[in-house]
Amino acid sequence: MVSDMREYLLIAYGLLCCLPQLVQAGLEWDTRRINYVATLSEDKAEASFKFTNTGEHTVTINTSRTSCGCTTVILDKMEYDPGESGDITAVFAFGNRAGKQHKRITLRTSEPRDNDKPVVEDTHLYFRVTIPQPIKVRPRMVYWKPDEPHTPKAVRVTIDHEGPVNLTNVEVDGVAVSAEIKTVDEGKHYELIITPNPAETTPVQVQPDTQVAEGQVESGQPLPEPTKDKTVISFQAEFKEDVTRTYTVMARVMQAPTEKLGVSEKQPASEPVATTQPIRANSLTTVMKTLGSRDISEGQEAPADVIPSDQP
Amino acid sequence: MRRLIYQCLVLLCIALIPTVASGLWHPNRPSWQADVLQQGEVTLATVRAWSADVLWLDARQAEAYESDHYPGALPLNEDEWESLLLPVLEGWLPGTKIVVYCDDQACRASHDVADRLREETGWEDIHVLHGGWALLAGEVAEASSGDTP
Repeated sequence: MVSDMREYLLIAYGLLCCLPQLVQAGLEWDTRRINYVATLSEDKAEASFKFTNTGEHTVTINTSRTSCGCTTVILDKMEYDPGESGDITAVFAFGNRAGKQHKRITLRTSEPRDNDKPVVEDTHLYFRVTIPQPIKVRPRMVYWKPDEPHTPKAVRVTIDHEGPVNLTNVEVDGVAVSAEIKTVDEGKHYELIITPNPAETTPVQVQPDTQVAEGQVESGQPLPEPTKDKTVISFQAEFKEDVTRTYTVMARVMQAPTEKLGVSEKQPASEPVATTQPIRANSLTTVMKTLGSRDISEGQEAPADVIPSDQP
Repeated sequence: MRRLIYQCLVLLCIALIPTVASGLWHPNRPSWQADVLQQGEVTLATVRAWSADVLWLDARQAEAYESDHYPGALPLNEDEWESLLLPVLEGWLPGTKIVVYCDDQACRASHDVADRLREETGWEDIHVLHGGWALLAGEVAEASSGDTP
């Protein structure tokens, strides 16, 4: 029984040793997967994939392709002789990405064989980067339907970052709502409380000849002019790493048009109107607020006038 | 010799078990048929059949969008997420369906954009166009050639 098992293990070992040699081309990689955790101040990450041509023929790297335009590949040369080593550098520019990112680099190599017919092979390399997301603001938009009472709504601001974070410069770019930050759990959880300003959300007269809004292509019907219903609320977060980021939320107090002319046939008359024209910044309210000034202890009920947003 | 072949077969059968298991259940397994709809994807025919308004989002790079895009589509990619998101929020209305596309079937950007938009806004009616721009480009070219006298 023991000798049988030993025999099985020996054969399994032999198969394991032989199979990769049969299926792999000349390039042997130190690793094909690289993981990297970025810091808050970084805006790109680099990974170096090292390899050696362990075959008996020159290997040519014909093409390199990445799964995203944000990742570029740097190659010193394209041809590698037997025994020669090299490396491929992948540079991933973060842009506005956050969280776990999986980038794939595909290399197409060719290697001549004895019968002169080259063997073409695709090799995949994986670059996995975790980009810190120190603050989550959810949802990014709150709205009130035309028939909805104008009670305050809350946007959750969740902090996942070591060290102090200062939320400042709450700016309301528009007249439809006002906003302020409330502390729910110091250093961890805050709420942006948004309240419609009823006097400032009067809809304008709907015109029949206005242009079709960008994005609303399927209806093919002219849409009304903008109402004063959209407001962009922004605030800044200052981190200990000397990094400042701006976060924005959109609030819309939707109004039923006063006339029904121009509304898409697919939209019920009671539905709000759409536009992508720039918001008219009639006033710019700046509320300077530093966290901690209005604490609400964990587990304590929010004030009765604050209704957390349960809508998208 | 027969014994050796038998042992090789037994070992290969043992190796087959995890192979089949990963083929069936591994989260990153390749699809058996390239044309099968992935989760969250819709075909152009399905989109055409919708009676609701559709907001088209182009998840490709800025240069590709500027070069050509589906009529009325708004750009939204993760390179410039923050600046591109606001027009999307402005263009959306309750009841509007969103369809995101990127280059082709191999492109993942449309799925990433759809996932992120879903997560950040809570909107549920967000779909990815199966086939992407590769499918739409022909239609756009056809429409524009039909427009020219």
